[in-house]
Amino acid sequence: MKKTILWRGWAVVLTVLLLVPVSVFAQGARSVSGTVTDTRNEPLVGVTVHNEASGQYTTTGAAGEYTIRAGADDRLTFTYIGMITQTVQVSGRSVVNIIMSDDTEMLEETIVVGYGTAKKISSVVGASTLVRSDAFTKIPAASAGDALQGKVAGLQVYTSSGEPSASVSMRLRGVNSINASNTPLFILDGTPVDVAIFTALNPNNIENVTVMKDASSTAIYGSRAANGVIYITTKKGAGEKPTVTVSGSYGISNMAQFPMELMNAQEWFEFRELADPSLKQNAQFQELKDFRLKNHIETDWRKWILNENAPTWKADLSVSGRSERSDYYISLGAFDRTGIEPFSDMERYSIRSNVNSKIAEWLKIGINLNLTWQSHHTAGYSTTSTGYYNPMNIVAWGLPYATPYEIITDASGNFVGYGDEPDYITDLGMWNYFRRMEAQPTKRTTARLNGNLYQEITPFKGLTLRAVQAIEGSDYRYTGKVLPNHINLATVTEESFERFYRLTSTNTAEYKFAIARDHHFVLLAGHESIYSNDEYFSTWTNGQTDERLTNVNHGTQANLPSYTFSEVAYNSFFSRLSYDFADKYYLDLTYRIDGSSLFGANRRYASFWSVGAMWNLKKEHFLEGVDWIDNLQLKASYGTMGNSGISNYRAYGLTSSGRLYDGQSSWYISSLSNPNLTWETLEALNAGINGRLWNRLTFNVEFYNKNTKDMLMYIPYSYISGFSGGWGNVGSMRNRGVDVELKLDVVNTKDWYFGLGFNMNYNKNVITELYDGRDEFVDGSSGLKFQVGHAYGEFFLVDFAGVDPANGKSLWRNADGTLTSTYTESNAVFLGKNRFAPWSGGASVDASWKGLSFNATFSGVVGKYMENYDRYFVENPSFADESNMTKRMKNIWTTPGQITDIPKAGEAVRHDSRFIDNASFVRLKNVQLSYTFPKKLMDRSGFIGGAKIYVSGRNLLTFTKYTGWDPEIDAITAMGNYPNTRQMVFGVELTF
Amino acid sequence: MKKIIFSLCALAMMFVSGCNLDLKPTSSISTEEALRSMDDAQKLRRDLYITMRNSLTSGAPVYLMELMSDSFHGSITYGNRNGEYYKWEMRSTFGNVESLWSSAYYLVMLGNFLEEGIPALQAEATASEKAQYDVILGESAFAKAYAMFILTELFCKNYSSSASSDYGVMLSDKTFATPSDQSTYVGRSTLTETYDYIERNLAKAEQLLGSVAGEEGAIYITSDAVKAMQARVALTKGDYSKAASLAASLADNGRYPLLTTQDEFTALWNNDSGKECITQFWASILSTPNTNDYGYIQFTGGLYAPNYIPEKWIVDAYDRNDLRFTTWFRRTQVNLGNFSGTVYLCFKFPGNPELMASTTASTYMHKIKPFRIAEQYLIAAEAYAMSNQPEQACTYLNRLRASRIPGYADRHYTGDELMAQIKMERAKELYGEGFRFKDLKRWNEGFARSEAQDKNLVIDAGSTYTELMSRTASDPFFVWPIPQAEIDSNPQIRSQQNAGY
Repeated sequence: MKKTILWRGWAVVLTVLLLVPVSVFAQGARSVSGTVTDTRNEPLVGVTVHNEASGQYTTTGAAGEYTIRAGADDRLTFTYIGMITQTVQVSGRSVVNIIMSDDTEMLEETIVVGYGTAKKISSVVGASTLVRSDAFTKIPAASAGDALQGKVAGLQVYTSSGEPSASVSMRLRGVNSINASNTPLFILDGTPVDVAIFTALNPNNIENVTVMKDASSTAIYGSRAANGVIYITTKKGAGEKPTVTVSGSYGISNMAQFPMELMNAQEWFEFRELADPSLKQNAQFQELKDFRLKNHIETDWRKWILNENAPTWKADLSVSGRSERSDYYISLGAFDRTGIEPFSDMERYSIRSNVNSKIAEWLKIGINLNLTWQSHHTAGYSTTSTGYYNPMNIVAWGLPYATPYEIITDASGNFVGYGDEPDYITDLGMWNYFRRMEAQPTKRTTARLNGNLYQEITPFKGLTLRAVQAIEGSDYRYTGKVLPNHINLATVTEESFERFYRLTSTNTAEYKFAIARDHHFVLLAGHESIYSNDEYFSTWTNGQTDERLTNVNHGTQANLPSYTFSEVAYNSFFSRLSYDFADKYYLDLTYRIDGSSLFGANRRYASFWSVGAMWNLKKEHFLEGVDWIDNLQLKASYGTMGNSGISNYRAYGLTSSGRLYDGQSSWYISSLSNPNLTWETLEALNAGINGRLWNRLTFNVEFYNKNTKDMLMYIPYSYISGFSGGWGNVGSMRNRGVDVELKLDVVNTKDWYFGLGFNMNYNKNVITELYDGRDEFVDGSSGLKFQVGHAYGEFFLVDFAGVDPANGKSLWRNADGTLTSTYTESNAVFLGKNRFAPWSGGASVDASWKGLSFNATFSGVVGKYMENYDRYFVENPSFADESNMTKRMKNIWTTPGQITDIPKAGEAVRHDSRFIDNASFVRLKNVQLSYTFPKKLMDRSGFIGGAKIYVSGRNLLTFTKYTGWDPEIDAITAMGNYPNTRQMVFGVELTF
Repeated sequence: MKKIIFSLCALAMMFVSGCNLDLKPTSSISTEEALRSMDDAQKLRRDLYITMRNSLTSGAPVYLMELMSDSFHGSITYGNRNGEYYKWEMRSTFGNVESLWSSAYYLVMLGNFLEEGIPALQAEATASEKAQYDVILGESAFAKAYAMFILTELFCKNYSSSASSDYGVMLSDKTFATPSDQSTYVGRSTLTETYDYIERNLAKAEQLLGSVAGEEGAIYITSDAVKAMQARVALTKGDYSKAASLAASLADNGRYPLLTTQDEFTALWNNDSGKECITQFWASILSTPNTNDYGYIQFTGGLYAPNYIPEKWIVDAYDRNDLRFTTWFRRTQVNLGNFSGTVYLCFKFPGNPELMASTTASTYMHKIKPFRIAEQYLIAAEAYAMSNQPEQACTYLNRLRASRIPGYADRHYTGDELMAQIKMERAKELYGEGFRFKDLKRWNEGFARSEAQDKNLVIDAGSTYTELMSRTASDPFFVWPIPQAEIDSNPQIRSQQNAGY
């Protein structure tokens, strides 16, 4: 990291503040003095000492000393944050020494809110939701992200693919940005990490996840906080006795649902004749039909190509404990899953070591280290959406009368039986998928490491200096081959390497103190620098001749390698002031300055701030006697955050190295410059109420209004400039909505528990301003149309209005609402259907009786639409001779007067509204039943400390109207996607 | 004490660590610094060629001209590949339309960038360097004309007496410093202005490239290539005397003799010998052009499964001993799913082995031949015929035929018969090379697809939608739509879309 000296004036102010203890001297008849220490005999600085009789205050000095005037029978009260308040009688003494002990309540429910030390949840001013470890440990998902689905109001999580190595996409409270990132910032044990680290994290290692939603909690993360912050805390050692936990599970995966109804051979032949009556006279066709149907030659291509009951297992071992000065948590995890599409799988091994040690009373150090190694294969062609070899397209398009086997006939042409699977499937006009993939082996491995080391110095009680150094890295390798002497693909071997690393240095100073008895302050100041670097290298050779020697060095012809290098750096300064009065009125102020290499030289730095306030009503006198209210808080916050989620070097006009001409290199102009490129800014307002009533119902309701300004967008240029557009800051967008979280403990006794949880979010998105005073434009990169007053992601297409019963022609709606059989692109309208769901939520049921416990989590979104482009191919008669069709197509228009929504054969199938399907869904995301063996029984073994068995299922039920493979795909268009899977697993957990 | 030292160190950490934020890419250079020397200019100049070769003269801009005419029938397994063009469902949002438009203007921008930057370098250059810079300036002017002419042929009406009020294309002789400023954009010029721009830039190229002598198979633009382009432009514009004299002078200069043997002819097409080529763009396995073969052969699994099959009329048009027929067409058994048959397939682009990674699978790639002498013979013939000099026209027609058809005896035609013969010869000689659609448009004739070689093998046999499609010359789709992206981003052009879109 290159070093530059940077200085900020406010830091001086803070330093001065730290060195001058605040004290107030009391007047009185007689002087009482003493020292206040904690249980480890460390002096406590800034303890409030209050003489109740005289009303005088003082605070302790740097050595914990105090002096106050008091009468012989006066009572002194000692108050300090995080310590139990003590009141003592002076009883004529002139020296009163006090030992204060930790408030144990503090240890129960604390979360970290943006740098600094942990806070009690009840004192957190910002809007956030905590998800505890039990949501992650027993679920049969590869990624912890999947387990967050349906858990947090306003957090939409999608697993868009059933590929075992697939990651999830997340959005918090609507879509904030059009061209920049919408992914939240992930903080792992205090250090920002890439989403890939979170995806690859062993879910068993997670202690809890805090989802921070509003400006008050996220503005301190500044430039990358616009999409919310997901703070992951991994487990720490606890308990005097070392605990060894061993767990394992085994299960199976299948396709989550199979909604697309395809024709069988009989239906397909009949359909062909219906659509094209001339085939009834076509000898070749009739011969084929008779032969196949008579001999029942038919294939369900789904069964042929997809895996059923694909195995999945995981195993974890962890050792944890704490001694007087240190705690440790060490874990080893293994995960293995086979996908439902052939050749797709993933295995992952992870090692984690979290160690904290108090090496001196004032110095604590610790390290969190995580290593994972992952090897995965993806199903070949599964990402080429319209490719013939995409397994899902083979399922959808595979002609039902076709067979992958050789058909054996006798001399007179009669069917005798099936032979082998030939390399080439003549019926489909394509190679056998399995043979083709066997000839093209691939291998992908990724090694990841992320670790952070911290030093925490407490020079005196109240001041915490903390330095964190973090390294995150990944090394990805890909090998792809086309083996020699195989089906007619050119022999090739490719080797690709990608290495990423990120160095983060974070230094903070936090000072907690109180003025008088009830004025509590926490001051935080800090600095963070981030440098990241990504290098990619790939090379390939051709002409390998022997199947046993196919490494990249065995080729006979080499090609120029490709190489990319990119680096990003951030420098940031931040501060926060937290204040509360008597745990009743809270105020939080944050400020951050961020600089990033991503932006133009003119606009590289930006500042972000927030104000948050909370009122704890329950502490007010007027609610003291109201028994049915256990807790009641009002919150509000406002602030700004940034979004820098774009690729680097976007501000430069660039000239790059191009292809060879005449054997010499060329340069091409690749982009135009914008030295004013800067942050996208989000202004967010949040207001909420939360509490607990009748000791049964916990609720939290929050309203928010977020304005995105200066959106980072690809602005379309006239091609006369030589380019389709360039990056700039234009336009505004608003997200407004409400989060509701409810939890009801219906029954809560010693043996019984029954509880219901519910959360939902409604978000309304609207584009409020566009580029150059215009009220609409078409985005060159996505093809979407943006219009002021409409939501981002609303489909804009010509409205298909069915079929004219008289002649079978397609009908579309004109701009004036009348129907026409001529398709005109300019008749496109906003359909009121959005790719982003406005409604989302989740519900859970928890029940337990003694050792038996049950949990079910539902997750769903409503109002999500997606272009089901799979239908374009299987509901299009012009493809019928080379593709299967859905059963719906049997209603194709053939006779005048026929009422149907399938136009006659030969009508062009347009890219219109007909394929926009409602992809709203509700999924039974996770369901678990577990049994914990009674403690007594375990004790009798004298060896096993605890034992638990469970069965767990994922995606067992899906409720949707969507007729494609999977409604959960988070995309504008679904086509040939790898569908989601459902799992059933059985697991055991033993502790020793 | 230790405590205090550690604490001070920790505090100090906050102010001494930080990263340099001025990070520049290593894989690219700032465009402002990209033209500072002869070496730089040469590198950028090569991109003129790469862009002409890959974006304007190979791939979609070539094969779409065939699919949108009467050259091919889609096979039953063509899978709607570019079916929207084949079926004449032209839209302003089509990717191929936009990418051609965008590549043409990229080329103009690059030409302008060189024209703006080179004079300053020339001021300090030696005499020999100055001459080299002049060549690059000549090539820049040529590239601008080349790009604008390709757009004009497709996006504008034919040149006529109303050219001064018909729309041309957007023209520019400068780069854009603040490209987000919409007020600096231009709308469409008139067709007259567009032709002026093309002719002006070609005249500039003619002057600056005067010293670059023509040579068979030249990989750079020569003075002969400028002439060939001028002849092509003049023919399209209807300036027949200019077209005739330029084309005839190239045909007669002796540098590009017509081939007469089957072996030589096959070597030209299968191995890109460069014979008969005024220009043949450079290519190697490390830098390949796009293929002009749009699944015309598609040899997979030991079987032929073409996407597009030549129409019967064109197959029937050749004498069976025509060199072209022998090299370009093969009677082949094709297997399309469960249907099979034997038909002639187009083998004009079988793939140059030099451009294949392996010997087993063809990439169907060839060195691109933007200017062939045969085209100049046809331009001469047509231009003389149109200027009522049938004898001259027949001379060039007969010379071309004599080289192609062994034992050919000269024929003499006049009037409509002469034009019909020239048109058919053009169809035969330039088949698959991206001329057909433009020729049909220029001739104002419309077209009609006709009976397939084998009805079982073509999509929607018998349908007037595909197999038997016909279009009149007045069909608006003969004029391509201005890409929607241009309409959306450029207020000056918003009301200037072509009719029918």
